Amino acid sequence: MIEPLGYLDFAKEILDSIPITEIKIRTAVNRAYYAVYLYAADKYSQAKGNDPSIEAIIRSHARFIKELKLEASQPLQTLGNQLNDLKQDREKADYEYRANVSKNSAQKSYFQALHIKQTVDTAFSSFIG
Amino acid sequence: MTPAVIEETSTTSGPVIPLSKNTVAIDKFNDESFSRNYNDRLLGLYELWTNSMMAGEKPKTLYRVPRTQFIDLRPGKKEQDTTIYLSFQLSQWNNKHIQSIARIHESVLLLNGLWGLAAQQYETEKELFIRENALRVAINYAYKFIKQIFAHAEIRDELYIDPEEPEYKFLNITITPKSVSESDIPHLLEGFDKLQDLFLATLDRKYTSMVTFHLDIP
Repeated sequence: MIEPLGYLDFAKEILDSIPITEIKIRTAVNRAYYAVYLYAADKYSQAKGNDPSIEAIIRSHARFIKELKLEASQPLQTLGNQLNDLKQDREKADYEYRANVSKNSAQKSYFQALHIKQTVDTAFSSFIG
Repeated sequence: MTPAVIEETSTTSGPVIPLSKNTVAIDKFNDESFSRNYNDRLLGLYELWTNSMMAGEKPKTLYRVPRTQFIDLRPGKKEQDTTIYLSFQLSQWNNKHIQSIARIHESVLLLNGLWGLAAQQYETEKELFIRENALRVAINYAYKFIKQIFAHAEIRDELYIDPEEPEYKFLNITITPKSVSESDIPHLLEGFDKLQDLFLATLDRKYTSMVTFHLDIP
């Protein structure tokens, strides 16, 4: 078993490695996304009582983001937006192999992942009460 | 039948509304009495339309529909492309006006028993999504906030269809700041959060839930 945020540490390791290659950069973006996606999904599931219907929601990345954006709580809506932003970075890194993915863009993805972790911690502390 | 789309062209007469490839339609439009009747009806509808607009929406220059030869085959394209183009002289226009024109155009064709020949798909999928979800105001706000927060950035909006789960769609607005160094990134992300706070605080959830933002670092 792993802790999702372990992927975030790994993303940082990759970005700090020398020499850095585009394959590494893309991998870092991917890992940063999954780290916080899984972290957020886990917290959301706990907050909602680990209901099977919630499990179905969090298995679909797009649906989870949509649900967050429809939540009444603004931090959860913000979380949906932040996750979506990072998801698009990840899709570019994973699928758009002809596009250039720069180290700066990966740094942004990493910082966004840190932001998301912070939002998750804030959002779910108030959500759970 | 090839679906028609609205496009801006480089002609000085303004945008064109292409119809579809259909020889029956071409024959019909080439009939002088039909064309005159069609033109008159269009003109009447334009007047009704512009008179019914609120003052703030009225274009500064009224639409002028050419009275003669308003249906042209594109020069040089006769052999390869038999699409009919109607050119309208619009000195000032926007997408909303164009869509209204397309609807008027459709109405006229319907009156003349030519339903189905007009631009059935005059809206792109993105435009349809915006209209069905009433997102125009939300988009305008988004652009306003982005311009306030990101002084030098390219902005583009597009219909985002999830590549892994295509049933999920959003109107996505991508912000691409220019000349970014690593040290700018935390500041840009703060701006990105501020943008979303403003957006969420200003608009109802039913709109904000359909719009996403992406900060794209080159």
